[in-house]
Amino acid sequence: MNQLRTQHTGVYSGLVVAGLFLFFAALGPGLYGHTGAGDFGWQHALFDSVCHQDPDRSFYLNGTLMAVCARCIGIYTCFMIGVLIIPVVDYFVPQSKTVMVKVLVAVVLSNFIDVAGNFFGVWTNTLNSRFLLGSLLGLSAALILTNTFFFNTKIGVTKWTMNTW
Amino acid sequence: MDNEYMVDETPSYWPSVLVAGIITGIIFSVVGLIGSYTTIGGSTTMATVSGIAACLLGALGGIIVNWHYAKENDITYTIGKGALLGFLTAVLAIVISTVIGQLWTLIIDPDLNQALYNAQIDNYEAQGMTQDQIDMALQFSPKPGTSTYLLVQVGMGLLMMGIVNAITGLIGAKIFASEE
Repeated sequence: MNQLRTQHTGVYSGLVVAGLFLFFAALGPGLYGHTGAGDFGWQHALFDSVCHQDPDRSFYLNGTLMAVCARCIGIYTCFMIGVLIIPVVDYFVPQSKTVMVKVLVAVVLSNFIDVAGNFFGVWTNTLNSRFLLGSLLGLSAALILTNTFFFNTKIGVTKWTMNTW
Repeated sequence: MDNEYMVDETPSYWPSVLVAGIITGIIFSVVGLIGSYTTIGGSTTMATVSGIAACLLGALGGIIVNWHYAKENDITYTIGKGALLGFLTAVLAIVISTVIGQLWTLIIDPDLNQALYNAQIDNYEAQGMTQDQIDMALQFSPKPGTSTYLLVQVGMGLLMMGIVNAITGLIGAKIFASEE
């Protein structure tokens, strides 16, 4: 029988709170009833230092510009989802650090190539393609923390090991 | 003399925080200034590129500090400590970039703030915003150079960069300072 052992639960709780806060703040003022393009809120000021917030490269929610661009909303959405599913991943398909680091590096490079290709006119990326690549980045950044807060242990094996020892 | 064996031998993380904070703060300032001048010049493409760079580089502090601390001292440590290192790096980077920004506008280019303010309003008008919407937007981005602007920039910067770098600090500790 499998069992999920935990550690650093305080840090994981903080990570969940941070992930949820970033996601809901990134959605912008349109989330709670503000309507109309051009409406600004504290969310835009908050993300000003970490996102270009170009209106042509951002989604709208309830007719209001989100606080971050399409790539960044993909990052924050899937980072939040990734953080929430860490226990599930650790229970069913635990991943090694080496594999997840390789995945993260590949996804970061993909985003660089996408930005460079668009900048130099090799191709034109879209809101959806930016969102998709951002989503992969957010998800892989969260899932690199698998095997950190939760560990899948087999109770039978643990008991046998302890008795033997 | 037995007390000699009770000395905590965990190496100090402050040198690493200092190195990563200075690097991140300087890069953040340079990218921010490039963004300001390209915004004033009306080049939205370059402003967007510098914005993307600011996003990536701003988040790198947590990675740099953990890489430096783990490699310099060849140690492993808890993931919570990685988050702390990332947060402290963000605080130092914000302080450094604020000081550089203030010195730049006081000594090198005193007209930058006013030009940036005018460019911001021009951008809002170009987006088709009404005067009410522009006033609302300016509530959250006060006139550059004022003490309100400084407080908002530092406060929001500390909150956002603090959270983001604490998260990248966790990731950095996982990559560089944890065992497989």
